[in-house]
Amino acid sequence: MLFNSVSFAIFLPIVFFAYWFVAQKSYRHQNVLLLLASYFFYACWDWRFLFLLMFSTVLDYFTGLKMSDSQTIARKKFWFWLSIGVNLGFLGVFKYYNFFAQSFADGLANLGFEIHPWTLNVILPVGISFYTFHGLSYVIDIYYDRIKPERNFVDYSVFVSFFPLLVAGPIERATHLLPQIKRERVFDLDRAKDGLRQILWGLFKKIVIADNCARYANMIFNDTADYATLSGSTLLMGAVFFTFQIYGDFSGYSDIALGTARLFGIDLLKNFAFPYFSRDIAEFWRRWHISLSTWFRDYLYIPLGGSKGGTWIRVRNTFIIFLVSGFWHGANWTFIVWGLLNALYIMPSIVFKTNRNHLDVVAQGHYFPTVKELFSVILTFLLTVLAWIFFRADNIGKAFSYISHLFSSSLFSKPTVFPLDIIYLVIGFVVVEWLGRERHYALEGLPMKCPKVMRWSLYYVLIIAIFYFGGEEQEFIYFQF
Amino acid sequence: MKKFLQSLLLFCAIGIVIGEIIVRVFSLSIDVHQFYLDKDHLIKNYPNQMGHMGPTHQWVINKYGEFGYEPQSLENLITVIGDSYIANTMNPPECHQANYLSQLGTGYNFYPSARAGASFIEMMEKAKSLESLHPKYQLLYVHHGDFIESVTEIKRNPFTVQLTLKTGEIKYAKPTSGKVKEAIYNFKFIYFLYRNYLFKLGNNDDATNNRVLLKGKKIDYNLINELLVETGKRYRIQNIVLVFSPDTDPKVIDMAGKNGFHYFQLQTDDYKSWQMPKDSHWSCYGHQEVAKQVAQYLQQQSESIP
Repeated sequence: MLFNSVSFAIFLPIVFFAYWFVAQKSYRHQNVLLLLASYFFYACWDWRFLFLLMFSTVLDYFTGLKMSDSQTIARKKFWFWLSIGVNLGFLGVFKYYNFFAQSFADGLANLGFEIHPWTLNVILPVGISFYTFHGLSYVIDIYYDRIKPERNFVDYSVFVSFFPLLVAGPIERATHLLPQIKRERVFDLDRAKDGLRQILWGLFKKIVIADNCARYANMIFNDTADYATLSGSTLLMGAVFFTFQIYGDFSGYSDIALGTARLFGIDLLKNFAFPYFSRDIAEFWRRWHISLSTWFRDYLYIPLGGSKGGTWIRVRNTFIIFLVSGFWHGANWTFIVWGLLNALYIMPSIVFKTNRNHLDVVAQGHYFPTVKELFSVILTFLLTVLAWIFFRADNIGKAFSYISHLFSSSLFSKPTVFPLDIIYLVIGFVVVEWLGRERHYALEGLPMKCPKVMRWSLYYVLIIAIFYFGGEEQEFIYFQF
Repeated sequence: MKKFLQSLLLFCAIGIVIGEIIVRVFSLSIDVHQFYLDKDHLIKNYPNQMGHMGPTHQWVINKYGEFGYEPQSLENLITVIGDSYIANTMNPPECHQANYLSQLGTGYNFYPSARAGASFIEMMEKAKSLESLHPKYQLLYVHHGDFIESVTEIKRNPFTVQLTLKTGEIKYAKPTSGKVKEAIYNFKFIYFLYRNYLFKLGNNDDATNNRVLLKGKKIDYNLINELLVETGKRYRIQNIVLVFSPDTDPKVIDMAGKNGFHYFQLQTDDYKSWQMPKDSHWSCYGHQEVAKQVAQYLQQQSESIP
């Protein structure tokens, strides 16, 4: 069940009304309802993988309790590593087994040994990377005594399976979400309205921006002649379209998730903060997929020593983080190179300790940026565009072919793919995002300054655009991770 | 909560009004034609109707109450009978089978007569009612699904004409509740949402496209054979030509031949290229290709008769 589907448009109001009108007497009833709704939501993809989700939930719940009750460090360690091992084992089997088997075979083939590895013919369970990371953060936090284990199984299960975040995040923390699940929720009119507004903006980003950019990005990236016949400028257009596609797609998804959760009185972690207005790559990574970046920071970067060691330790840890981050996205060398390229981008600021130079919002309190800010934003954006080529390409060879044809003399020619309507749409979108960049999402608070008639007119315009530009339901890119 | 629901309801109500205006102004919805039951218990359209089929084109019902343009004359006539493939509301009237055939210089006039969801027996009933026009041939565009749909013993379908083989009784199609339908169709925006989003019907005018629904299902050849035998007894089949679609079950075609029907099967190596992108119905290109083959067949027939 996709957020941008008719079935979700039917599912959400039913759960919403049941939540506030049938199960409103106690938060426990509401949690049971949320759990059933979440399992139904997940089963709509593939009911068989529901058992995997349930198993992962039971495992982490049980090991969490066992760790807490352990009398000795050794027993605590045993339960901790059991949970970590099984969770990563599932992830490894479903997501990475084929990649390692094939890479191993390719490596041997290079040495002159021919083997035919046994590969798994299974589809990737949707959301496995996300709910596994939920579970891992919970178990790690208990192990390091940061939190107490959750003793109510339903509450814990809702923490893992809450349907707005189940399949593509944000990756939540027990310290943030569990307390919200364990308290009475009171309907808040402003919060609910804000939730609906954020859902609307998310749908607009996904259906109008991402799906329309996807048409042209796919057309260019799927070129069968290996980009030989496309001009550099056309390839640049393709990369820029993909840059907006992935942002509209994933941040749109996150907006819908956050808005939906807010309808149920729950606040999820913010996942995006206008990353394309970043002045350097370090700022970009503080604004892109925030819940994953902070997860890696807290559970990998800091345990590895973080920034406390010398320059060499910082460089090493940064490379490890970006390598793992790339690998988290998928079992493909393209993601690994994408991660390493970002590590290279960020390296100067790590070495010269300028990575925390831009903690505020660009041109805060002003309509226009300074020339220096504008230049920094454009440069960062272009570096990001270049990195996305690896992320989008089918394989490394194609990515390099794409880049080599991009940087040719035809880079300054007129692109053969130049859909003016979509370009105007993207420019309009960037303007709205720029105006709202100091808020949680572009529309938050922005319409509050206007009279109701203006506000509602804006909503209707967005809805009309969604109907007008909407075509076939398109999956969200991050579902494959 | 009360305030929230009030706001939400008001927002939706205004949204529906805006939607209704947009759908009507830009003709985004689909107009539904008016029909009645004629003296032969067949569902017929009121003549001279026009309506929108979304923003792309209009459907036309001619002065004889049939989808598409009427023939220039009723002399030297061939009827073109079928189901939704021939009613063809998903394409503009220029792309209709009868229109293409009349442009191919066969020397005949072509009279279209079709209804979405019509079974083989309904087509035979239509052919019978058109006998008064003394057609040279009656072309019935069929698929094995149309034969399956004709037999009540296989599955009762009140929305098409069927034959009960045991009793020999013809069960005529019941038009769906006109008043309710009319009321729904009048809310163009709601109907637009229903068609485009709720049931994903897209431009497909035939929600019960038996060619799609029956794909891969087992065929009861004995009952089909009984149907063909019974049809041969009940109707005049001398001037009937069954035009089988390329994906028709070969055994059914063989049976039709053995029961005395004139027939030929449309041929293509790439049937997909004849069909619409999101629909199994024929596109304008598909209709053109079909018409070429039918015209060639008619040419061969006229040459074979001294």
